[in-house]
Parts: sequence; structure tokens; C-alpha cells
Amino acid sequence: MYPVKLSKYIRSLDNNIAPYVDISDERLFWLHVTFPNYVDEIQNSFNNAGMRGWSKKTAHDLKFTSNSTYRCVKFFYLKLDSIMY
Amino acid sequence: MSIKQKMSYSRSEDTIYGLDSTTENTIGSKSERANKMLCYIIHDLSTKHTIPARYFFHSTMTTEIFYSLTMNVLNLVTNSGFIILDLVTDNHASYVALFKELRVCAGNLQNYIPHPVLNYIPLFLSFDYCHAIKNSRNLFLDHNMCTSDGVISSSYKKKLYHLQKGMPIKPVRYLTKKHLYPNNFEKMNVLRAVQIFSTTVTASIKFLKEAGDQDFQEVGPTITFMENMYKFFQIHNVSSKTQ
Repeated sequence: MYPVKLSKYIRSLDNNIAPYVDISDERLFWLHVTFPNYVDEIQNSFNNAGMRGWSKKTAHDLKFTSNSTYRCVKFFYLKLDSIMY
Repeated sequence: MSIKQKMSYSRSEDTIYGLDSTTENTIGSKSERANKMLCYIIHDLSTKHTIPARYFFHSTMTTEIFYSLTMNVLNLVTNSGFIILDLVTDNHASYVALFKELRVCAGNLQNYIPHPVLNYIPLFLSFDYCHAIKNSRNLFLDHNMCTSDGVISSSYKKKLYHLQKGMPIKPVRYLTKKHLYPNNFEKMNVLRAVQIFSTTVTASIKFLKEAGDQDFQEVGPTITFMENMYKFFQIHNVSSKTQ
């Protein structure tokens, strides 16, 4: 039987906004590897094609935030319980 | 944030309000008129609480003062019983300089530093993902980009907008001129920046490609870009366990 009030991520069928409950979550890999690589790919490609990409600052900030979130969520998962309780 | 310069005198408190307050704890201790406000906010991770912890009115501010204010607030908040785990700012140059100062002082150039107050946990540093998505949207609308697969262009979205303009039933109901040609004020809206990359727009453009529309045949790299940016936002938009 379904609970009366379903979580938003279940109602919207969007796994990207689901709670982080597993250290092997695909989203953590995406934040740590896939997305920074994609940003690098754009930054490397536009030079060769004579076009413009992200500004250096925006590209750096995107990677910085992505990596920081990855580390932060990983930290929550591994260490938070020992800090709080 | 920028604020309108205004000074007023309180006769009962014998104090002038509206002056720079960054060097002392009291308002009106420095004889410069403030035109910005710096606000520190605590955002709870397990419940929906956002508490203003401290705010300062200021005009120009050096990185050293900014660093000192931040350390004071960290001390104050931690001593009140809160555990600060992540310091989030937008990517304005002064905040970038603050992060650099924090990282250099901690002897660590990573995106986390040893916590300045609680020595058993790290303090993560991060830029606000809402600003990141708005910056990306601005660049995406401003010029074409490319990957090894081809060109990333916002022209497909503009074509979709003009295509559905006269239709009584639109594939993307919310796509407006404000999304595609925002002025400086409209650029601050986060919702519209996210909607630009949303799955509804991506699905509509994909459909036009699959339906054989000649204008949309090279849309692959643009779709990948939009999907990645939307995923970036969604992944960061996980705010609680009950969401």
C-alpha cells in the first residue's frame, strides 16, 4: 500500500532529486567525474573550433561546486552520524 | 547585495544609521555611507529553517576585513550550538578572494579546509548552484559553444519559441520572451534560468528532430548540454529527506 503523501521525487519520477542514501549513488560519480569532464571537453573544444565556451571563471566555478558537493555528500554519508550522535 | 544609500539620525539612541558597520559591532561607527549589505544566513539541512545569523552594512571592504568578519561569524554561530559544514557564496570576485584567503590560511588549496572552530570536521567551500546555472544560461544565450560532437546553440530554442508563438496549444507552455531575451533585471530570476534547460524544452526539441524538421537535425550536442545543466541543478536541489 502506498503512503498517503508520496515524496516529491516519487511523484515526479525524477531520481535526480531523490535523497542521497547510498555511497555508490550514480549522481556522486556524475558530480565527481562525468560533469567536470564535460566542462573540460567544452573548454578544450571551443579553442580548436575558433568559438567561445564558458568563461574561465564560470567553468572553474561549475567544477568547484560540483566537486565540493560530491565531497560534502560523501562526508555526510560516511561521517555525519559519528559527529551528531 | 547592493542597497540604496540612506542616512538617518535616531534622536532617542543618539546614533546615525546608514554608515559602514564592518569595523565595529555597532552601526554607524565609521564615517562612510554604506551602499551594500553583507548577510550571513544559516540554512538548515534536515529541516526548512533559514536564519539570518549576522548582517553588516558596508561600502568598500578589503579581503582581510571580510575574512575577519567571516571568522567572527563562524565562531559566534558555532558557539551557539550550530555545526557549519558548508560555506556557500555566489561567485562574485570578493567571495572568490575570501575563499582563496581561507584556503591559503588553512594551507590547503582544495575545496574544503580544516574547520576553523571545530577541529574534527572539515569546512566545505562551495559556490551557489543557482548563480552557476544563471551564468551558464547567460553564456548559452549569448554565444554558441561546441563539443567534439558539434555546436551547442540557443538558436534551436529561439526557433521553438517562434514556431509555437501562434499555436493555441504550445509544446512548452511557459516559454516566453523573458526566457530567451531577458533584460538585466529578468536575468536574476532563477526559475526561468532553470526552465530554459528543463525536460519539457528538451523533449520538444528532441521531438522536432525525430519528426524530421530540417532546422533541428544538428541538435544533439545542444540537447546533451541542456540535459547536463538541468541535471546539475536537480542534483544540487536535493534539500531534505522528505522532498
